[in-house]
Amino acid sequence: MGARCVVRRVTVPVAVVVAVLAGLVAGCSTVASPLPSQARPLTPATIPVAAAPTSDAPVPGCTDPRASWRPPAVPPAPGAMPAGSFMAEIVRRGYLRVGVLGDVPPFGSINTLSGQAEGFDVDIAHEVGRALFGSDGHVRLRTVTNAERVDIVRDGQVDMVVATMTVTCQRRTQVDFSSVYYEDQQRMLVQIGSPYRSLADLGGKRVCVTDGTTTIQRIAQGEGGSRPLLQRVTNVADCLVQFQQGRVDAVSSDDSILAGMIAQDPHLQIVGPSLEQEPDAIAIGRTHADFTRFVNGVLARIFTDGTWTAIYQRWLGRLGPVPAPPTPRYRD
Amino acid sequence: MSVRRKWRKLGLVGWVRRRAATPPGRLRLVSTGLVIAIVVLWLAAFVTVVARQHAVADVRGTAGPAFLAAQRVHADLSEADASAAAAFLAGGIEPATQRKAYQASIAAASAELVRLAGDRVPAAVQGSLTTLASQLPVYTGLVDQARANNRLGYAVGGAYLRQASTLMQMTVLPAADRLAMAEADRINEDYHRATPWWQPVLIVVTGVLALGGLVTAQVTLARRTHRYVNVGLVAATVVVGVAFGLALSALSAQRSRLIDGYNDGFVPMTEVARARVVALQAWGDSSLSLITHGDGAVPDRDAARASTRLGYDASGRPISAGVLPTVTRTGGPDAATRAHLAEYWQAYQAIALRIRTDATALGGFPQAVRTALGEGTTAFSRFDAASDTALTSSQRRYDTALASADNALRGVAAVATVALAIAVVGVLAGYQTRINEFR
Repeated sequence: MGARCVVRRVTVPVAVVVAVLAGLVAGCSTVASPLPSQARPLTPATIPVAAAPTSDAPVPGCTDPRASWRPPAVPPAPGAMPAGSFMAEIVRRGYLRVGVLGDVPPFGSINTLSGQAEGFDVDIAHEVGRALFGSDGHVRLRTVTNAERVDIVRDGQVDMVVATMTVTCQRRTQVDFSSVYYEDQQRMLVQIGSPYRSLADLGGKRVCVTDGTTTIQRIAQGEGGSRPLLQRVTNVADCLVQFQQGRVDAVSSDDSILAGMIAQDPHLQIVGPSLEQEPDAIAIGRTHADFTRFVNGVLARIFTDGTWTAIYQRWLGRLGPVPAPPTPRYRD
Repeated sequence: MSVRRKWRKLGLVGWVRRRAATPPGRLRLVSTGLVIAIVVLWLAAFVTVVARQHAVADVRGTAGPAFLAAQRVHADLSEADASAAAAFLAGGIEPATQRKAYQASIAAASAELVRLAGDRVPAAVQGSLTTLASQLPVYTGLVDQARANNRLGYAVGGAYLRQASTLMQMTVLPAADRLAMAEADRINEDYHRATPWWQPVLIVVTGVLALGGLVTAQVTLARRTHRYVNVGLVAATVVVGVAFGLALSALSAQRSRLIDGYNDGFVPMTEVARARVVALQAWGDSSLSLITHGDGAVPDRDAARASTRLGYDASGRPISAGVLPTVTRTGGPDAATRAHLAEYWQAYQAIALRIRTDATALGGFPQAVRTALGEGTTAFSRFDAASDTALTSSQRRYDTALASADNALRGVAAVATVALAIAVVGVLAGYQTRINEFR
């Protein structure tokens, strides 16, 4: 009895005090104001490192990268493609799928007024389309970057890519090429009045080149012991920005592309000898040689009937007198 | 040393003993003890209330507004970047509305920056403020160079715009984020200073001691003198009890309003703000991807990252985590303003996906641009407007809660001071009448 009483007298107040204190501390606990996890910033994207330029190693069996499949003696008439050929498949589909460049005037760029792609390459693509269908409006274009040109042909996302693509033995292992439709020269672009006259003057200077092009290897080699510093960008138009901001001393690319830059900036000039022949051809999937032969037939025709000259005049007339069309080389 | 301490001890003990030897001395001693207890309670309450008032004032007056300003700078600049891209996409002749939106956003961001520069930003992020102030003109310069080239039909304009956007996303916006984070840290510290757990505990302990002392003294006095009511002491007890209750309830109200401000204001506000800037980033990426004419890989990847953060995978399917699901789940009084955000985003993302498919489809590019400028912009604007409304309402909620937390403490220090002064007078007067009886 007495013990219970003590228990009551001691335990009850202790329990009450503990409960009150616990309630007090819980109701008084310090309040924090942390930034919610979902309100924290997104970590900035890491800029992906572009793929290294293709190696210069010789490819066995490739002696003349320019030689393409010989066209048929009599090209098939528009709308009458041989049954079972890739051309027949395209005609059945109703349109030709072509990849062109979107920001490389005068070869491939989007016209800001019409919103449509236009340029030398685009006109060549339309010629192939006309030869297939006999009429306009059957070419569907998509813009591509230099870096993805090979992949989208190889993976069959497009039937062909007309994008100032230089024929090389390395690329030939992945895609097929038509005969050469434009003889480009790799040159240097510098500011008017600058002391640089050629690649040899640019040792230790910054030279802008576009990722995924054959230009990179040639500039990396340098000239006469001079080693320029490479400034690599994704799009060729970025080189012009770099130039106008004084971040680079020169740009190297195909002279036709450099001409496009001069058209946008009159303070620039092309200097030095041709660093490398850059024969441009149309890339076509390796699995349909019949289509490559067909395209070569179209090219052979436009070289001779004046169409090529008209296209050149239209897009590259400011480069000077129209040169003779390229002489196609074939293999069987 | 020990001898001296002994002497001092003996001195105090001796003084107390001498006092306690006579009945009036004993009464004086007890009244002194009660006064000390009341003063200690007053000190605890006064210091607590004043310290908390300062901390709340800091949130309301310094860290809070600076955080909101940094957050607005971030939102305005994100808006500017996305608007610039959308205007560029339209071609050489920019739509006046997009141009106006861009200019308004840049002007608003600049104004906020000036305000931020006037405030005392923490020294650690002074550099971020400098980055913002120095890079913003560079950004606008690049955008205008892009416009000029675009107007002339030069392809290099797109390259300038890409560079501008990269500067914005990689340098300027992270600086605004660092600034906002530093201010958020300051708010967090102020919250801690505004609600230390030991302050109310201290007040309870001192309050219980003072009240207990008063009650015990009255009981003892009643037994000894058989006078059951001592007006002075009763008044003191009542006044101490009221002051004690008032202080505790004020602290509790202040604390719960700060919690409300955090839960109903700060959390949804910061989450919606993040959702909005991430969405703006995705919208800007969508325009950039089109401007790049096919080289959409980099902006598309960035847009996918933004969309993942929002809670949807690259093809628009909801994933479990993300800002928008969290925002939708967050209840609270303004939940209605946030209810449609996820739905609006999904509607926009569906269009964005179609734009991307069209852009890489053969011949689909012009259609993709048309969709982006038409439907895409409309759908995004709906999301943007809704998130702006949600942001404004939670911001207002936050402001109100902070103001009412401040109000909860207003006057408490003064009332406690007056009340406890009255209590001291009551105690002294109450005992004086008893002491006088011995004369």
